[in-house]
Amino acid sequence: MLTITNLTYRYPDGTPALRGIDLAIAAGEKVALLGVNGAGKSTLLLHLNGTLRPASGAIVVDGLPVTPQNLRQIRARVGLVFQDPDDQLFSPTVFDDVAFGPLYMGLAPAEAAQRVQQALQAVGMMGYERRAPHRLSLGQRKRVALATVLAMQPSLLALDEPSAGLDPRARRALSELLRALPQTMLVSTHDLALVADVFPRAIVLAEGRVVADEATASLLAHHSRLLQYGLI
Amino acid sequence: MADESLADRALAPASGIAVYDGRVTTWLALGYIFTLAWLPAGAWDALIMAALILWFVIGCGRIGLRLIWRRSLVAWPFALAALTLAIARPGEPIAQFTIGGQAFTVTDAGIVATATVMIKSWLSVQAVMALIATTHFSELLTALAALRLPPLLVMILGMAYRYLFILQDEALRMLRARDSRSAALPNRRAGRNLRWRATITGRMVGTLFVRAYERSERIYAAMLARGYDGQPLTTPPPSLRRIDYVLLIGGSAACIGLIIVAYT
Amino acid sequence: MWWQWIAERITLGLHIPDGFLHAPVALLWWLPTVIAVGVATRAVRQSLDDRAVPLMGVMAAFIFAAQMLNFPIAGGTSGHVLGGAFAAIVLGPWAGMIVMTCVIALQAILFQDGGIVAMGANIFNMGIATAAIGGWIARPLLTRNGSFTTNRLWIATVTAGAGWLSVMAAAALTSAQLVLSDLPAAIVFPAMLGVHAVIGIGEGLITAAAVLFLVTTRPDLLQANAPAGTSSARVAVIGLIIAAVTAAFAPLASPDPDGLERIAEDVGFIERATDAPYHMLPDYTIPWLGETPLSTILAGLIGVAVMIGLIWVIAALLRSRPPARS
Repeated sequence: MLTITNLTYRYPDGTPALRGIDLAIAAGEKVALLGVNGAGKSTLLLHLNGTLRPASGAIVVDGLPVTPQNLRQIRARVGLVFQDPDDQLFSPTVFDDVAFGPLYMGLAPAEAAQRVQQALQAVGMMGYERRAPHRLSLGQRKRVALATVLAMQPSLLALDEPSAGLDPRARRALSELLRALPQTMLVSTHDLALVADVFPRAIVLAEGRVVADEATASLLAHHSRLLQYGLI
Repeated sequence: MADESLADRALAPASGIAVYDGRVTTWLALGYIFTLAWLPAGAWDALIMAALILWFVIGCGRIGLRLIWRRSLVAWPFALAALTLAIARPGEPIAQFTIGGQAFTVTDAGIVATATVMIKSWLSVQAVMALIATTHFSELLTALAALRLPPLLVMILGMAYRYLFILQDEALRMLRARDSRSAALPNRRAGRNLRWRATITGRMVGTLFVRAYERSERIYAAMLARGYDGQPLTTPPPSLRRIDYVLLIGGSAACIGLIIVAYT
Repeated sequence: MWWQWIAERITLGLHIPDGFLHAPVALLWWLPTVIAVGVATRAVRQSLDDRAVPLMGVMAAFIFAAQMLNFPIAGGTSGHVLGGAFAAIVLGPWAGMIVMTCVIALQAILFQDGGIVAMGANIFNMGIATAAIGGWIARPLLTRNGSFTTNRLWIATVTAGAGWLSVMAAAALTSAQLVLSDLPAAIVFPAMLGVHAVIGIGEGLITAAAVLFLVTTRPDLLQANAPAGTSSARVAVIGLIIAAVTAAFAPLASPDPDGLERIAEDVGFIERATDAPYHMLPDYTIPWLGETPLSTILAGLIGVAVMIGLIWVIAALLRSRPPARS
């Protein structure tokens, strides 16, 4: 489903950010991406839909390599949700925002409207169509941001710290939502409770390398390793 | 668009010039650029001297002449416009060509004018680059304040500079988030139409405006919390040292010298 | 790709670099700019009081960032907003001018988009003229009895028109300044106005969409009392127009030479026009130096000094009056 081979990336100023990432995720898998700030989690996610171009290495999503030529098709398959929903929501109403992706893909307005309904239903935001995004709470905005990519029916969801800043109730709702969604997921987070709840597999990044890739249960069982990776 | 690394250098000037007062470097750079503007077409001796003076200063400042040259290419596409000067000036015809039934004549005076404009433009850009590579932006503001720019405007400029990169980052993240959702399906035309895309961009502008406005309100509250009452805070800058005066006088003399060379 | 880079630069074609404008042309255009910015500074200080610095500063940074928000047009080129009309529609003409002045100054200094000597002209074209159109033409059409109209079609029409017009005005002014600096009118005017007639459509659409977005989501920001014109503001506007017209046409009187010789001529021209009882600089030379190059230089330098002095005096007059504080 997702294969990454020997991915390296440098920031424009030359600092290496990713130093040879190899990983494979099977269809339907839900994988957590852990690591301290600056470990390269967001940078890796930005590679999945070609927002950043690697210095070397390859990414294949659903058999389609991520290259500048098929960027637009890749973006129909990879739903990338940014950490700050305000970056993602730019329309006067929730409906307009969720409809952006489907309309851009060239779907007819009626079909797009149907996609919007499905996506809002999936995230539990039915009835908010005419609301202005900035009038919603952070938890609600995060749900709408997720709906904006769900409406495009991607096969891979890449979420950047979806639970950051949420209160406990919103966090529990998010955790239930992520469990219920059928898509393959790669989710960067610092939230170990969420990881234990939703993701059977965890990958730990440190200084641009994969330092652990194993079952969540075995990782969480080793207090000393969590300490070493800076996860607690 | 933005080439930030030169401006970033200004945050930590490590070059030789940086030991001089920011006011001196600012005034000299401005004086140099204004002097260049007055050099007439074809004043090659003055232009060559101007270039050598600038490159000498850049060399002394250890800014990296090659870096400056590479970056200074930003001025070149506009230089295409300067090419039209070649056919606009009356003079000895050198070449003729026809585009769409209209005959154009390249004259010697025209070529001289074109070359002069390009050189002046190129040198001016290098002077600004040398300035920001050696002078911290706050020193630049001090220099402008000393030139009697209204204090309010100076403070606004400082505030704008402070939040420039933050809002640019915000805009960049918004662009990335939009582009991540700008997908295409096989055999379907993506992107709808121009009007729709422009409308989306307009909404992004509106969103960014609201975020910026709310940020300014937070900043205002934070300023009030620290006792700001609208009066510009002016700490008198330290007086210029003797070396600064020497530099100022030397630089002014060089500029006047260039004018004299150009017109005699 | 390199051609995209060039295309992007051409859409930035309103930022005149140094070297292109004849020095007298560039210097003369500082005059209306200094007047406008001076008046605007006072107006903003009066109406916004101590909020002026954070609001104007962040808004300048906002325009800077908003210019990054581009959208694909065709063939790898992209359009973006200039923002002067939008800033003035939302914040009012004076605040719009201040914001755009800061943007253009920072672009020239930090990113070398636009020159230093040419900054007076650049600020006038892209900041003063665009904000004037947004603030003095569009804004009155959008407000009824002090509150923003709710007719969306009308808002869209007026703001889109103002956006397009602001770009065209900036392009026309830029072209005029380039032509006064001897670039061929037959090429500059059609090229600049043609390209910007298209770019202006993007500006109009973005401006309209952005204002409509605010009408929908944050109408309170539009109702906020923007710096309105004081009674002296109307006088200032008239002075501004006179100064701009003078700046535009004074150099026409002396067609050919550039540089100091030209300013020397201009000074002579102004002297004659005002029927000065005596000629300070007869034949643009200093009498006791005779017809030497040195004489021309000195005459020119005196002319420059007179002009800079004029700008300085106006700036000082605008600054000297203490701000009215509520």
